[in-house]
Amino acid sequence: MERQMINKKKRVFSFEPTKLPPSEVFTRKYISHLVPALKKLNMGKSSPQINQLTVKREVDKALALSAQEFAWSRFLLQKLSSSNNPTTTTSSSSIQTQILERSNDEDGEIEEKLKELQKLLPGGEEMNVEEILTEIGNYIKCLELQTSALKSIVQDAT
Amino acid sequence: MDPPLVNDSSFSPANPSSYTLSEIWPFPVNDAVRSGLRLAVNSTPSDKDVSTAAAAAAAAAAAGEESTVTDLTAGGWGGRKGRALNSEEDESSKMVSLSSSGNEVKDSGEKKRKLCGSENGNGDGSMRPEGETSSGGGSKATEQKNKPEPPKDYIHVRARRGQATDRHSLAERARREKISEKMTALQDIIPGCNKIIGKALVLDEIINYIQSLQRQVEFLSMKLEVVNSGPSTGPTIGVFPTGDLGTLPIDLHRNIYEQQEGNESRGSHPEWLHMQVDGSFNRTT
Repeated sequence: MERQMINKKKRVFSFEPTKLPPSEVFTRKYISHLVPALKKLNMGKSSPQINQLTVKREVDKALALSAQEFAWSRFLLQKLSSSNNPTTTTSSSSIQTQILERSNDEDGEIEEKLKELQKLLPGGEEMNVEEILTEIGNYIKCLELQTSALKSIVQDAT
Repeated sequence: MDPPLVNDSSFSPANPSSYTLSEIWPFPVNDAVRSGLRLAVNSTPSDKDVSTAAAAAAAAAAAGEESTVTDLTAGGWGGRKGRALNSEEDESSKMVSLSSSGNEVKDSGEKKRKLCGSENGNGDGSMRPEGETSSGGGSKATEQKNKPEPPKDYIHVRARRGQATDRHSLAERARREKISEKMTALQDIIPGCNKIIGKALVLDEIINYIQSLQRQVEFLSMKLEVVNSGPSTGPTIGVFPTGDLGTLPIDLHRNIYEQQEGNESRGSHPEWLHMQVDGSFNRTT
């Protein structure tokens, strides 16, 4: 880690693109998206009660914006923008891709679980099994990073 | 059950070992015995396959038998030369060549099966004898390499034991392997999932973990909202310049990296921040 820090130091000054570990990249982007949004919310709050949803939405939006190389972030952004404009119909879940495994009993359970997983993941309804498994990996990672970033912001601010 | 292969008219008299096949090995042979030794002569299934192909083709059953016998003889020749699988050396040379020819038959039988399968019942009667003789002649080389080479224009794949060889099941198998690869990768990510065996349980764990993470995020965002709305926190948050983490307080960074990477060295943090702020710094130690 020391070496990594040193390398980071070296690279900070060059004009080449920095090769930071992706977790750090994500965290930075996340914080840089979230904090100004929070600040804006804070300053521009006219009503005494901040809508809980607003903060949550900002949080999610920051998540999606910081992870744009992944498919689920696209779906998340869609959801967010569609919930912003209630006029647009949220038809993203109308297409449900079938997860067809073998039709044994044992695999029926697995199918059910995969369907649940589909629901959890933003955009999971439209992916097949392999894609889901791939996307879930990085979704989990980003969720973890998001949690730790939020924790530290809250900790720092209290 | 005597293999009805021995047909006097079709015999080539030059090979006495095949001539005595039915006499020495009169009982049926088990197809399931297929490992290094390969002592069994699998004549029944090859009969069946050959006959099905014969049904598709114009050739009669007699021709099927004939070609099988041709195989046998060719196999007998080839087997005597190169096959060393038989460990029982007490037998007479007849027995040795018998089992070897048995192996030949099995190999070519298997090959024939694939031929039939991949050709989808090729109706050309003339093709079959060709293929068979070539397989008979080439089976010696085949055995020694233990892998069928594609002599003609179709794809020969050596299936693993007990698994189907058609294209669909191969593709499905590849797909299933990919999926299980991904599942093991997920197992590495999720804490506590290494010890769990079985797709369903692992999926359970994954679902629980994601749900708990999402709940945590919700909870934290609620807390954040509370914190945000308080007047005392305004200036703290306002310190951050937009898009640049350089002037974040040291504590914040420390917290983040602490949580992520455990106990790494703290001493380098302030230096790093100095770096960020003032771009002209060289390495400070």
